[in-house]
Amino acid sequence: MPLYDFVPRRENVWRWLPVLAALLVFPLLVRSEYLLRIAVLAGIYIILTSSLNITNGYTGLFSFGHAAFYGIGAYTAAILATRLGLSFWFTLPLAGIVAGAFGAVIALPTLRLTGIFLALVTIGFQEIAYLVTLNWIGLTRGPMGIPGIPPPAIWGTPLAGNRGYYYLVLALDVFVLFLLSRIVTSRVGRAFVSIREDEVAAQASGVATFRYKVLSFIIATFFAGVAGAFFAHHARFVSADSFRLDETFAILTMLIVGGMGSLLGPVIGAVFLVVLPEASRFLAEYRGVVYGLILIAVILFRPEGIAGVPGIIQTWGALSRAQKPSAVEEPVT
Amino acid sequence: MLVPQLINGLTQGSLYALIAIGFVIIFGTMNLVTFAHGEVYMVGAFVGAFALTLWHLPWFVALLLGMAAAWVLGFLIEKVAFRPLRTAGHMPPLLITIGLSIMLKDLAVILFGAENRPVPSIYDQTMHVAGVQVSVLQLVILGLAAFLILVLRFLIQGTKIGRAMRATAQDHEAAYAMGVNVNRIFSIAFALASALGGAAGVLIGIYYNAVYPSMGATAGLKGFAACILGGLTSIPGAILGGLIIGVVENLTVQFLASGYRDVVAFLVMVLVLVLRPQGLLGRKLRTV
Amino acid sequence: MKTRLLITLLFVVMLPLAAMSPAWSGEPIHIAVSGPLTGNFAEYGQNWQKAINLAVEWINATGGVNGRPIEIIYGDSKSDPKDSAALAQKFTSDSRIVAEIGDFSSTASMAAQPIYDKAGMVQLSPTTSHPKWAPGSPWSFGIVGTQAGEGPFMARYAIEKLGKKRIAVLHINNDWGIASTEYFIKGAQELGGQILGVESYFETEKDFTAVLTKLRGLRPELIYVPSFYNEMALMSKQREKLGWTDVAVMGPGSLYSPKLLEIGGDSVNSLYTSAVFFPSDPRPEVQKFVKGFEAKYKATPNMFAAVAYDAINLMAETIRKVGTDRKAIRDELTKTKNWPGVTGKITFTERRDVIKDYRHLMVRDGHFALFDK
Repeated sequence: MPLYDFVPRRENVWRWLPVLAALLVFPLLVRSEYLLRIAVLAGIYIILTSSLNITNGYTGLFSFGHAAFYGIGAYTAAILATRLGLSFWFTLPLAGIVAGAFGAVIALPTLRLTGIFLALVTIGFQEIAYLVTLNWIGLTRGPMGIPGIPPPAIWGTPLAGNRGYYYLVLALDVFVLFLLSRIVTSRVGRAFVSIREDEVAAQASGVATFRYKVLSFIIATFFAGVAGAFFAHHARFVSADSFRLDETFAILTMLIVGGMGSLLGPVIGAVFLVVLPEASRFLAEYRGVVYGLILIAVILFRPEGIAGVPGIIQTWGALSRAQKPSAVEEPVT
Repeated sequence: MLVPQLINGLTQGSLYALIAIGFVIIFGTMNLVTFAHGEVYMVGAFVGAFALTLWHLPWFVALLLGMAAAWVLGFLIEKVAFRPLRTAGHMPPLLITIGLSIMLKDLAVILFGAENRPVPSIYDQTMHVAGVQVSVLQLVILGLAAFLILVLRFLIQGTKIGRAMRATAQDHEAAYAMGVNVNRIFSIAFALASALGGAAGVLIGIYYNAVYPSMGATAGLKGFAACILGGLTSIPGAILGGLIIGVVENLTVQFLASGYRDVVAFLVMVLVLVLRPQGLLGRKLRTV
Repeated sequence: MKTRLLITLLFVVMLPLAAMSPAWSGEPIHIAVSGPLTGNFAEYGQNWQKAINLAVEWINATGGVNGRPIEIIYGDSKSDPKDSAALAQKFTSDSRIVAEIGDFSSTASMAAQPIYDKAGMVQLSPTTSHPKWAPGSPWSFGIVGTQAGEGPFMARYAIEKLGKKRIAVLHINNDWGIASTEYFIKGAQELGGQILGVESYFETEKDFTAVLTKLRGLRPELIYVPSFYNEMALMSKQREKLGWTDVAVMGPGSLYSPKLLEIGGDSVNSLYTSAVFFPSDPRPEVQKFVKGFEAKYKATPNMFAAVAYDAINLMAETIRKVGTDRKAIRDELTKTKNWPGVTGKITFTERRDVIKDYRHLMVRDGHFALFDK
């Protein structure tokens, strides 16, 4: 069975138990705070990449503003935690909800656009979000960032050291991936795919394409916000310039290298690209060059990535297989 | 201080226009978008800066060198990113330009350091024009930008290559059928657009006295904004879009605050895309 | 079998040899330094590094601290709060590290503060001058003085010494810039100064033509610019290009750095600033530092090297008294009284910052000179 078809089902879950066991035992064997921290970062990026996969991979949209929603989630958690004293267990879902709400508000006027136009409008929104965050000092402390975000507390004991964060992000990842797998195997998921494959045909078959596009956007931004909240409570400090276009490009690179349109693709891509630059001092210094080269190599030689659905990249943005890719969508009368 | 701010705005706007014209040329001829244009601009700026600081060359030589470096880089990018994927839709080349953008920015940081590289002052005197004190450098930049645009116009309207470019832009299959070497035209168009970006880079470096690896990121995006405002397919539109954004940015600083300056370009871009995607002077784009 | 025995014997013999460090009776004492080694504030961090390396070399050459050598673990924060916070996590979870020196900017120090506070490690900043920083945690210490002291001093410089009453302010938009502006304005208003306008810019801004044009419209006699060398250099060049030369420009001691002169060139002539350290100070500890620095690096140390030098020496001295327990170091530091640093005598107030004596400085003919009128 090709990697991109993998979906957790009762029959094949048992095959993954050894992997789960290894993941659980990992921090008991590896004591280095440094390595555990990388594992936690990989866990955060798994959520980010998987959520971007919903819009860009399953639905075939060109969302290039993902980092803004990541940032909105992070700042929401930071503000709620430091100003209102809310704990992680509240800030996490609230961050997702706020990010998802912003997603809805942005989606409505902009998802009429397709292709490069959607990409540009999402980039524009991302930069505006960055600049507003920077200037609205009263809410976000602007360039000074928000320090002093407390760590999550489990049964009253705050986490200290990356081992606790590792287990927490592992649990979160399993939960998020489970939810996403239910979504993509449902009717909703099939609607997303039909929009990606041939939007005109989907519309003609009665799929309410616009509504599903908005839904896909909201789901993606919700989980980006969740990842942001986790990031805030882990880094204990948020500042606006963690959430700019470079960050979106990094997540996009992970998605493409791992493979779009499948459940495993984003997981593989995130783990690979978070771990690789740390494998050697040399690679860590040349992180940008490494990312760029890998992205270029993948597009040139294996566009579906490691575990992605073949053919997505080439027809990305095409409204219908029968037509050349174009710019603005007009409603089919 | 309205008139000085207007001049500030027109000067910067003319440079945004040069970047925007580059996008129009590439999109118009090849129907493609590049995210690496900002980095081409940055490379041109660095070469120009080195020409001035390390080799002590006169500024117009520095400008030509910067443009030449950008031309070469553009030529290479077209060869690597666009030519092999001619039939692959517009997404794969776009993604490759993203990869190139990430790489070039990081390479610049590794080679030159992330901090500002100072550029010496040129023409730092002022003169009086119609009772207003203007900086000579601003006049020089405005003049140069106008000159480059006129040269471009001559190239496109008055030469055989220009005619081939226009034909390709209209319908590259028909142009091919008429004997135009479409591959060569694509290559020239991309390199030409890059050279204009490189020129803008050198001039900005001189204007602000600094070049730095991340200078391409915002400049590229503002170029997009100007291009969209003007209409993705119109060169006069790109010029108008650039000038408008430059002026509004400076008026925003004058009447609001310096921190909101960059919001202008992005707000304009988002509003145009949502309300009137063809911009001011562009063709109304439609699906088939 | 024989080869295995041989190899085992070799190991048994080599192990103790390897464990022996030359001439030391103890393990090194690790002190972490978090500062900008690269990026737009690189020159400041590199100055720190030079001074700290010089001091450590001298300390280790004369027997170290209680027989143990000092080993510095550098972290490059780029003075970016994200990175200083990440380094704080790394340093506090490294049990070898006994204390931390850093960070450069108030924002970077304040971002890391909660982490050092929670973990219980001293954070001694050579340059953080925000008045709210040191009081923010019992583990935070500052030795360069605060804007609560420098602000009024600069206001007196502008109004009483230079006679400029119509003032506009252009400040970097971060914790330090905002605090500097606040205390300067308070001091200036008390002396009858007129604040015509306040503008700010973000750290990465390169274009100052618009905001300078705006301030010029207010016709101030002096602009007070809390900023760092990079932006001041660009600002000065652009101001020159706009032809705005009939205004005095003043900024806090953050500007007292050779790179300002190097990048700014002629455009920064007649800039007014302050210093807590001046190389021609005749005090013996200053001269020893200056001569040693010049011999090793062929360059005269500036204020940033001086405060870093004081920081590491004060830290070493404190460890010498109480050993390497993190809490003991903190408690002993608070008792510091009249400690002779090259930047003046250091006594921590109950807020764990210090009160400094400032000197009037200006740029004359491409050098920093004491303002003597």
